[in-house]
Amino acid sequence: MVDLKLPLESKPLQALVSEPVKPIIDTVVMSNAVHAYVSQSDKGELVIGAGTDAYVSYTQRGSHDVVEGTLKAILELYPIFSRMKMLRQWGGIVDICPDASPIISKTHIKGLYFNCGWGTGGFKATPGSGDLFAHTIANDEPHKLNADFNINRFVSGDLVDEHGAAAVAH
Amino acid sequence: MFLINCPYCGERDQSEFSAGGEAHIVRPKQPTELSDDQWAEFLFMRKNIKGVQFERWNHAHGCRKWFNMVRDTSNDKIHAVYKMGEKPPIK
Amino acid sequence: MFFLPDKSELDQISVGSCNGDFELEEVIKNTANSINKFLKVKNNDYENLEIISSKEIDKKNIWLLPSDKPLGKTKPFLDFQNDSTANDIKLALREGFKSIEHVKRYTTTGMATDQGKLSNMHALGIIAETAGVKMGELGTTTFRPPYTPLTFGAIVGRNVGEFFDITRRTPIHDWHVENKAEFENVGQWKRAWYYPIGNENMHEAVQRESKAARDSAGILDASTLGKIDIQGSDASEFLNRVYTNAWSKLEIGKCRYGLMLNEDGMVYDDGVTTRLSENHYLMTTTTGGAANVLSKLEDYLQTEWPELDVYLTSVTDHYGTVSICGPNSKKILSKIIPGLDLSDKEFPHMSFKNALIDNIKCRVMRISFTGEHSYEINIQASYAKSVWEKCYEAGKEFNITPYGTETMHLLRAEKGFIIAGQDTDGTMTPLDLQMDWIISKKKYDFIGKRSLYRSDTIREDRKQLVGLLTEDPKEILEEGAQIVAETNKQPIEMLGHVTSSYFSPNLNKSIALAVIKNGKKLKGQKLFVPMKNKTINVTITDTVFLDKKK
Repeated sequence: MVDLKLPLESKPLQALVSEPVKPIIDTVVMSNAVHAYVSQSDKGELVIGAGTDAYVSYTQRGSHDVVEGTLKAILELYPIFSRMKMLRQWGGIVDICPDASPIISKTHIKGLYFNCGWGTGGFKATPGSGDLFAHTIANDEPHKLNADFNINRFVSGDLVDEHGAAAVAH
Repeated sequence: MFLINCPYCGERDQSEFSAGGEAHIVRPKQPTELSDDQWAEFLFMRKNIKGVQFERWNHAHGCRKWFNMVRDTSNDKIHAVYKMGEKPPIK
Repeated sequence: MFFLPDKSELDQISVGSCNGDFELEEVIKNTANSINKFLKVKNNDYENLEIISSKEIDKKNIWLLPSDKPLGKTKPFLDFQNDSTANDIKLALREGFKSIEHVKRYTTTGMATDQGKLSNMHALGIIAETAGVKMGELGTTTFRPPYTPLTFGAIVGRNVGEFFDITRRTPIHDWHVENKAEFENVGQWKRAWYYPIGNENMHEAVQRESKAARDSAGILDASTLGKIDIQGSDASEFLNRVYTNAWSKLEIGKCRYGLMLNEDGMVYDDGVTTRLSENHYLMTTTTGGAANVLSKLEDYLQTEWPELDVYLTSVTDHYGTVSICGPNSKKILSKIIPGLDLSDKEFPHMSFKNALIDNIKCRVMRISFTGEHSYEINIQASYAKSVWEKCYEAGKEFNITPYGTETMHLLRAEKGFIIAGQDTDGTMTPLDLQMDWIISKKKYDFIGKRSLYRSDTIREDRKQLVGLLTEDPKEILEEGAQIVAETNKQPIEMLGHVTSSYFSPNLNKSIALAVIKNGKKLKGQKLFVPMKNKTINVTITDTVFLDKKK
C-alpha cells in the first residue's frame, strides 16, 4: 500500500427523531451550555442531535447514555417536549482528527489527495470543501483557504483547534 | 452501551468508565532523539481498526484505576480485561 | 415472507415465531434443538413427542389485494398514517427510485409512528413484484430502536432543572448570597461574579471593586481553585515531569507558578504549587480544569511512570480559600493572625506559613493573581466562612471590598496574567504566550517538551499573545473580535482575535489581550478591529499594562 497513516479515530455520532407534530420551532437551536441541538423537519419530527460515543466504534448504533445526556439537555431548553415520543435513534460513523478539524490536503504521494476527518461537521461545508478540494487536485496545490488543513500539520505542530467551536459533539 | 468487568471492582455500567484510546503505546523514553515524524506517530497515529482492538479504559467513577481491554469495535463485544503492565491474554 | 434475525455476534439466539417457525411442531422441535446446541446440553424431553396441531399448508403472501378496477382508480393504502398507497410506490419506481431507502423517503412509507411495522413488508413485496426482482434484492430498511416509541420524559424527566447537573457551592456561598452577589457558573461551581450595591450594574460594580482592591483591600473567595495534595518520595521528580519549569530546588515553604502542557506542546493548565515539606506538595489548578488535571496526572502515574512513588489526592472540597489583596492586606492579616511575622524577610512573596486562627490550623500563602500584595488563607472547609467573616470584620476600617470573578479577571489582565482557556486555546505554546522564561532549558524531558521543537511550533510568526490599547481609551473591544491590518482589501486577512478585554479603572482606559500572528515582533504597530458599524483603531503593546515597580 502507500504506507501513509491518518490521524483519525472513528466514532458513532448519534441522533434521534421524535414523532411528528405541528410546527413549533422554525430554526435550528444549538446550545453550547447544555450540549444539544434541535430542529423540526418539514414532516414535523423534531430532529435532535447528540454527541458521539467517547470510544472508537463501528457499531452504527446509538447508546442509551448519549440519548439520556442529549434529551436532558433538550428538556432543559424546552420542558414542553417532555411528552414527545422518541421514534427512532441511530448512530453514524464519523472520522475525527485530533484537533477536530478536517484534512483537505495533497500528500507526498503523487496523485493521492485526502478530504476527510470532518468529524461531526461537514454537511454545511460540503460545497465549499468540494470546491477547495477540486482546486487542490487541479493545481496540485492547496487553495489559500484550505492550506491550513494540510495533513502535515500533525507532524509540524500547526494544529487548527476546533474543539468547542461547535455547540455539540467534538 | 455495555457492561465492563473492571479488574478491580467487577462488572459495572460502561457509563462509570472513560475510554483512553489505543493501548500499549509506550511514551518514548528519549523524545528528543525522535524525528518530527516519529513523534507525530506517538502523538496522533492510532490503529482505529474495525474489529478486535486493544484499548485503555479508566474506571473514572469508581476505583479510578486504569486498565486494558480487548474489545471488538464492530459489535462492542469485550473479549478480555487485564491490568496495566500485564500482557494481553489474547492476541 | 418475514425478517429473520441475522446471526448474532453476541451470546444470543432467536427461537420460535420470531425466528420464522410458525407451526407448533416446528416451534417445539427447532427450539429444543437450538437451545441444546446453544447451551451445550442434551435435553431430550421434547423428543418423540406426538404433536397434534392444525396445519396451514397453503400459505401465500398477498401484497396487493386484487381489484376489478384498474390500479389508477383504486386507493390501496400501504401506510395508514402517512397516506401512501401502492400507486405511490409504483410511481417512485417509475421515477427511478430503486433502492428501498429512496422509495421510503420519496413516498414516506414506513416513516410514521409505527416506523413501518404495518407497511414495510408490503412495500417490499410490491417493489419486488413491480420490479420483477426477489424481495429484499433492492435492499431493506433498518429498524432502529426503540421498538415502541416512548416519551422523552420517561427517559430523562427527572434530570431537569436543578437536577440537570450537580451544583457545587463553596463553604462561603451563603455569605455571598446574603451580600447580594450575582453568581457566575464556572463548570459546576457557582462563583460570586460581582457584588452590586444599590442599583449598580455589573460594569459599575466591577469598576468600584477593582479600584478598592488596588487602593486599599479586596477579598475574594478562591475556594473553587482545584487543589491536589501530592505526596511521596518522588513528588519533586513528578512535578519536574508534568510542569515545564524545574521543581527539585524549590525550598520547603516556597511556592512556584507552574505551566502544564499537553503532550502536543499546547498549554493545558496552570497554577501555583507549594512545597509543604520534603515530600509533600499542594498543587492548585484552574477551577474548570481541576478534575481533568487530576485524571491526567493519575493517567501518567499509573500507566507511564508506575515506578514513581507518588500519591495524588483531590482536596479541592476539603479546604476553603480566602484571598485578601491590596496595600492594606498585610495589616488585615496581622489582625487575624497576630503572632505571624509578616515582614518581607520572614514571609516573602511566593512563600507559605503554617498558622493558627482561633486554634484552627491553616496554611497561608503569600501569592498573588492580581499583582497586589496578597495572601491566600487555606483552612478546613467548615471554618472557611468564619475566617472570611473575620477578615471582612478586620478589614472594615480599610474599606475591604468583596470582589468576584469579573474583577479578578480584570485585575489579572492589568498585570498581563493569562487565564488558561480564555487567552489560550488548544494551539498556544508557552512561547506563543511570551512565557519563554517558564520553560526549563536544563530538564531533559517534561510533558509536551518534544512538541515545542517541531517545525511549526518553533516558527517565529505564530499567533502570539500581546496587549492591545484602543486609540480612544474609552472604547472597550469585544472579546472574540477579529484583528486586521488593512480594511480596504477584500477578503480581509484575519491576523488574530481579542481574548480578554476590560475597562481598567486603575489605568482609566480600556485594555485588552489578543493573539496576533507574529505579534511579538509587531509591538507598536497600529491595527484595526472592524466591527459592525465602525472600525476601531488599536495599537499592539506589551501584555503588562500596570506595573507598580515603575
